[in-house]
Amino acid sequence: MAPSETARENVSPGLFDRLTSTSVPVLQDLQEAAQLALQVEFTTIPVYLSALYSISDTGSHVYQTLRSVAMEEMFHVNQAANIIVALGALPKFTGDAVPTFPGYMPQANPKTTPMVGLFRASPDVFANVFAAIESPSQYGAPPQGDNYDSIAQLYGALVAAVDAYPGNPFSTTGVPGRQRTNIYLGKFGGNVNEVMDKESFHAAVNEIVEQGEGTVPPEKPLVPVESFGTYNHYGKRTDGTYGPILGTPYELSHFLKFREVALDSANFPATLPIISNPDSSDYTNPQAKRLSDSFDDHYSLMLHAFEATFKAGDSDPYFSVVLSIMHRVLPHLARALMSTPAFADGDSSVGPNAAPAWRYRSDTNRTFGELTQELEDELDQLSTSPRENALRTHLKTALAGDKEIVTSAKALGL
Amino acid sequence: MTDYKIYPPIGIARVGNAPEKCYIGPETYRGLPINLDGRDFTQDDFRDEQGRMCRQAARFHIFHGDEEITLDTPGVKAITWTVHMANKKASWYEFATNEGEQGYASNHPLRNADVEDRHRLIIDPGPRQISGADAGPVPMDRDTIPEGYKGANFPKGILYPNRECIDTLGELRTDTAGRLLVLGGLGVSGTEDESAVIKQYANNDGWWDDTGDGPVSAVIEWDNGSSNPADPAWVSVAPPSYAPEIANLVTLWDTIFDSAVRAGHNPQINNQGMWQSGSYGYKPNFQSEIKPLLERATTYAWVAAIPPKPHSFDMEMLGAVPDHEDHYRGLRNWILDVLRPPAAENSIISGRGATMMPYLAGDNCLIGGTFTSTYLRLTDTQFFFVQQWAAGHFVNEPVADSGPQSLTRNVLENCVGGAFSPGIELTWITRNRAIYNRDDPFRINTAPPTEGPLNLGFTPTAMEPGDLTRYMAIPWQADFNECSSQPIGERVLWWWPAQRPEFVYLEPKPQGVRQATMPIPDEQTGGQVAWIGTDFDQMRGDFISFADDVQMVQYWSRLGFVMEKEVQGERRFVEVARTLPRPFTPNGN
Repeated sequence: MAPSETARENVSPGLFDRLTSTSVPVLQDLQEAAQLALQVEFTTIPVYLSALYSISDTGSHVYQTLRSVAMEEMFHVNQAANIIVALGALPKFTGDAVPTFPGYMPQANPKTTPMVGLFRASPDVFANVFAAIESPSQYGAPPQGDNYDSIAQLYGALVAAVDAYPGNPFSTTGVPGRQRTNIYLGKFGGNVNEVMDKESFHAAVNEIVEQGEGTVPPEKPLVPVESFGTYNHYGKRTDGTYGPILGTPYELSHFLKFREVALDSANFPATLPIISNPDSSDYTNPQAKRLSDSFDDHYSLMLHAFEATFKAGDSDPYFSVVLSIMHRVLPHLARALMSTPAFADGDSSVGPNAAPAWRYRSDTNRTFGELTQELEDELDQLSTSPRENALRTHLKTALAGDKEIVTSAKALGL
Repeated sequence: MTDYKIYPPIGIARVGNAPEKCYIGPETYRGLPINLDGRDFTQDDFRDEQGRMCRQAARFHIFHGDEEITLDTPGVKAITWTVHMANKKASWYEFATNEGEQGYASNHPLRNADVEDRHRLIIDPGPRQISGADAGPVPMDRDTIPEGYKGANFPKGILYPNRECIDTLGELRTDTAGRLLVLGGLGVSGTEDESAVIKQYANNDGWWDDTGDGPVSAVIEWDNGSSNPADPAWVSVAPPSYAPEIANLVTLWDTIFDSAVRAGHNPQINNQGMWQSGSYGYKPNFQSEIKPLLERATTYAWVAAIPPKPHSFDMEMLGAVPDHEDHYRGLRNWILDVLRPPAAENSIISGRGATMMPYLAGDNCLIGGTFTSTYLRLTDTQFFFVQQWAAGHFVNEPVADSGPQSLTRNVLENCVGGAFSPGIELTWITRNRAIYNRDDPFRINTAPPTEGPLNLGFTPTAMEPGDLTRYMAIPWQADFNECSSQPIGERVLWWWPAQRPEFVYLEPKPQGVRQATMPIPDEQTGGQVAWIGTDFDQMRGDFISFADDVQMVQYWSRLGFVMEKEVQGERRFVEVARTLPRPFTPNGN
């Protein structure tokens, strides 16, 4: 069934071989398959965000396009987590579940899928990495969980396994987790839905797959029939202008959005001169090292808190801690890093500058309060040179975000 | 200053072409109009038996403290009201966005600059009086000019394109308790020039309309022979309110209140220029100062083509007052970050990459080179409230009805408080603190009664009839038609969708009970259609407006209203009472 037998020989029998070899999957198989889907979606987010933050003009079409895709990927992660919860497990966002870069998407075919890394945005990155990640599956490509060529095949395998399961594997009561339907903010396509049965599961997967790689032939006209698009939104209209589009037209898939950006290389906006696939041990500027560690620590604490938001129970740190770190701290810390030379005595306008590594640090024992204090110290140490103005602004904003949540984080034991 | 005051201090009447049937303007926030006989208002009440649009009367009450004084109040023998309206639009300066707000420059052009006798450009019927219960109508027309009044003037002859005359600025009536009802003009606009061309959205030489404004005064006579004057109010006549239950994000009340706050009238909010922020500062009430703003964003989806999802809000989370833990600060900050802050009036995208709200055109997106305010933003006071709320310094309490103060707020919250380019009811003159009483922040300084003719200038301490509406577009239909969508850069923004709908939903069904939560449209609601226009090409003049402003002069009274109704089992805001065919193709002009 696999497109490349030689590639398959090198891969040890994995989860999806179990799924296809046994006629009846057990619940744990489904849980693991859904967790894999979650990790695939998760892998794309740091990749897209690193490129996003490297774009200076937040109003540019490229920035807005990439932002819309990154937001929809976060929504896909949330939707995959809901599937896991409905299957009776808890989604994992820490430890081994965290993607490392550079690498391939979990269990993807390295011969046909791109090497995924943290890159400064460019037309080539959009063409060769981003569009390749979201590449549509070929006609007739079989469902395939291991060594897949496209994400749609992976979801195909998940759907096939769920369909083969006798009865309804999903439950909304008596499970240890909590499905979340309220955390997808903004104007982008789709809604996060509760998964209750095979029907709602199919709808959720369809939405993820069609938003990603898309199945709509590009020549198809805009027609208001896509049930999960954004009802009434703004975009390129059929009259050639930008403006309101009434009804629920097909949204361009992520693949086509990236393709459009890659083809218009002349209008690609300016980017910050950051290092690709950064590793803080390469930095000789101690400030860049410290900020890189701070970013990773914040990121790790956010993942811990995020994981907790899917556990049933009263305490829900989503709006008190998680959203605040995602929205008010990490973007500014990322931009602070991107305005910091990686090498001692470097010039931040020339580069190379540092960039977030998105490393999960399980070994860190610093509390959120200590992280806040460190940022404060970092600000105090900054010189008054106008060259550091951008850095200072970003650090100040990130620190303000930190200070808002330090009490809530403490209550969580972070 | 007396112990008796007329409320609301600014009342709004609205034009209509039905000569007799009328209703009273809403006296509740986002409320429906009020029928004269007290029946519940239905969609049939927007028009008379012949399908003509009813005028909306402004109702005035007298209060002594919180107690209303009417003819039914023991000891009251009579209440005599005096109203003097005028229309000074043609005699004033041209409207050019914010130019003139800080005083006009010497080279600022006048309207009808070639007319030497400027008094001939004022429509002035002189003052009128009315007293008693169920009295009137007392017309403010050219045939009943008070004896001895020297300033009377009306446009001469037939006005084109509709071949009508402006013979009246309206009429006075009283209700069963002797409260005053002021009706405005019949919506007649035109020019003596038979070709009847409208060249511009705000300034058209030779044109007239029959809106107007002026002071309202009253004297209470007591059974014991004594009498008391009441502090005067002001009446102003505006275009129809086509979506009375949908409010603007920035209302006229917000704008005037903001100017009062910044002038020191509410030291608990702003004391000597210092915003009272932080945990010991002013704590806005979620129910009266935050939730309405969010609801206004939600209801815009019924009258403009905006995505409903990001405009629907979980009020329970957003209204949760933090105690020892603050669960929703991240969510509140998310909303604060989307709102356009002060000093970002010319940015559409925030530094974070989000499209900043409101997605509405600002005071001055039309003239380059002057100081600009391309996009609308909340008033300073509104923004301060949202900031305090986001930081967790707020309360969530039921709102007590505070009598006449609530009436003032309700009436003005149903009006536009920006963008003022020029606006719908009134424009930036309402931000000028000099025109208000020093001790009564919403009450306009009224000039003593005059035998005429009226003053041609501007004396903020003694405002005369016509001194508020003269800044508005002439004829009002020109601005009303054009200010639908506004191309700015590569985007197209909206103006005042709550007052002048852009896109509406159809399908009326019988009226049901009002539901507590705010409905939002979705895929099942059916498609939105343009209120006016061909709704195809954004670049065309008739995208969501008439191609020619003159067509608004001809057809304004036949456009539909937007009303909350039960449709297919759910609450929706849908178009009702339209007498213009749909689709509609104007036959030339």
